Amino acid sequence: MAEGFEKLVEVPTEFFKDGTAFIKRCQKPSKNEYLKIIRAVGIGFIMMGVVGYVVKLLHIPIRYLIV
Amino acid sequence: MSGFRLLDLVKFLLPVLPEIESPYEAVTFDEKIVITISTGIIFLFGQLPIYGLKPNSSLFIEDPFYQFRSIFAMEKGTLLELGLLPVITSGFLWQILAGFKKIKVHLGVRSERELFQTGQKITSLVISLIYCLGLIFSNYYGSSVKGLNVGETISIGSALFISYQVLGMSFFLTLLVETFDKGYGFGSGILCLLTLQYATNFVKDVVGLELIPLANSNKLENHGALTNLIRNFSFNPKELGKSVLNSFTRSELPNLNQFYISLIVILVAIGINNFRIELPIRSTKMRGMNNIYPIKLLYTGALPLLFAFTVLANIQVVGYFLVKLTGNAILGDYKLVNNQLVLSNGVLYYLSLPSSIYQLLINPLRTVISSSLVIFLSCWFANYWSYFSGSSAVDIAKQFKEQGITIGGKRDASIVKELGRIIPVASVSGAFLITSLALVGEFLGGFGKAVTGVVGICSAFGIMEEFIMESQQNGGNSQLMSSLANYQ
Repeated sequence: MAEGFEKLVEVPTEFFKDGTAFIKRCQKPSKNEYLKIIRAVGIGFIMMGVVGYVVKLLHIPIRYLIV
Repeated sequence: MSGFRLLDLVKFLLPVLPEIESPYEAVTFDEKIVITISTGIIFLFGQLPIYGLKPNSSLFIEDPFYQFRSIFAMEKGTLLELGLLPVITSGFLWQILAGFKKIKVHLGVRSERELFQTGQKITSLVISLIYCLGLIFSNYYGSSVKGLNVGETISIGSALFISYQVLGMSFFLTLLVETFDKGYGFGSGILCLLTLQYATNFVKDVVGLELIPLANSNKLENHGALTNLIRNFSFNPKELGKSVLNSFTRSELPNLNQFYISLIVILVAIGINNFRIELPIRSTKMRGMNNIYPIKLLYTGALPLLFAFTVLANIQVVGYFLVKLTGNAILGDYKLVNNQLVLSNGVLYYLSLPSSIYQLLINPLRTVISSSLVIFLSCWFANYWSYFSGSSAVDIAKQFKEQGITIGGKRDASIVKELGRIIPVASVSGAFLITSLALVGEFLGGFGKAVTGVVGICSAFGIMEEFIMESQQNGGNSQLMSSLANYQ
């Protein structure tokens, strides 16, 4: 029983140790790179959203027509 | 052997079901763009209201699913009532069954892959049918049906009519997703549509111009949080402080707090998405060909998170039906708050996430149970996903060998070991990190928007990568792109 419990604790602690070590080893984007990515993703994202929203605005007249 | 029989069963239904044919020749870049965009537009038109409900039916529907509507694009009172939930559920179900070898399928063989996909489609249809019947029998639509008052039950005719619409759209959506998955569009269909849905709702929540009547009052308010703030400035200078505060805290419609939470979650998600370990690789065939092979921290993307919430959402949906049909209070107890059916007790209560800091503190047990369930599910999934999807250490090492690549300073045999040390740790800790981020967002009052934000951003990266890769391979042969370039 005690062994099973030890194992139960061991797995998450092991995982946390490995995980933090791994994240420390990771290459992180530099500030410049980060800003560039945000700009690229942001533009794409907002463009997508605006087009989607315009399509959704078209719903309003249709809504009046069918309901 | 039973697995084979399951696929054989699917075979009988193959001629009956409509199917997207795999492309005969490679789909060109332009075609992909056009198909992706038009699929998106069709998807958005699925959010038209159901015919046969009252106008503004969303005000009459008592909503038990408010916590995960945005994750699965389940729009209240519209054709997308079930949203992507059936498609996503069946997709995960089949992948996991195949991964654990419960179904024997050789995905390399074309005919088997087709059967597999048809199986997914049928499951998705069956799930939509069950959920649709559940919606009708649990009297979910209640007084929102045209000509019904509170307390009256729905007639058979309108029940059939409504379920016909919801089911029809669900079927159509399954086919739309299939179009993507057969290679006509960019990325995976589910993720692409989710991203579109999230981006649209994000813009709508910020600048939404529609005036929405508030429940239990005769006031109209703008849907968008920013529009509401601006409008409050011009409306009543005397009560300025109060109305500005209102635009930060209103609960019926999107508020600015939610906007800031989403924004922070998105920015952090973008950061985490770019954490990676770079392995130096070099070619065994050519000298001096050195390169790097990045292994992302989010090795499995946002799929673990999506999986965890798919499980949770299915439990909640089925639970709601059971509670409504059996009236069992141990299972769950709903209270009506602002047009939303909020869980107040029962098993389901402990399996749902608290949606504000107040709720988080008032019942710590629920917080611990629900969040550890989500984290456990997502880590469990992340652990297995690389094996299921053919991107485990062994698979990558095989790819390396085929392409004549080796990790710098390592022999062939130790490549698997090296990758095996990195990949499982990366996928599990990535899943853990991203899930915790989404959970924090949820606890601060994200109402599913935090989760959707994380999933949306991660899949946006995937789509963008594919898009850039395709456009580079195409070498600027795209007519669409060149015509766009002329405009600039």
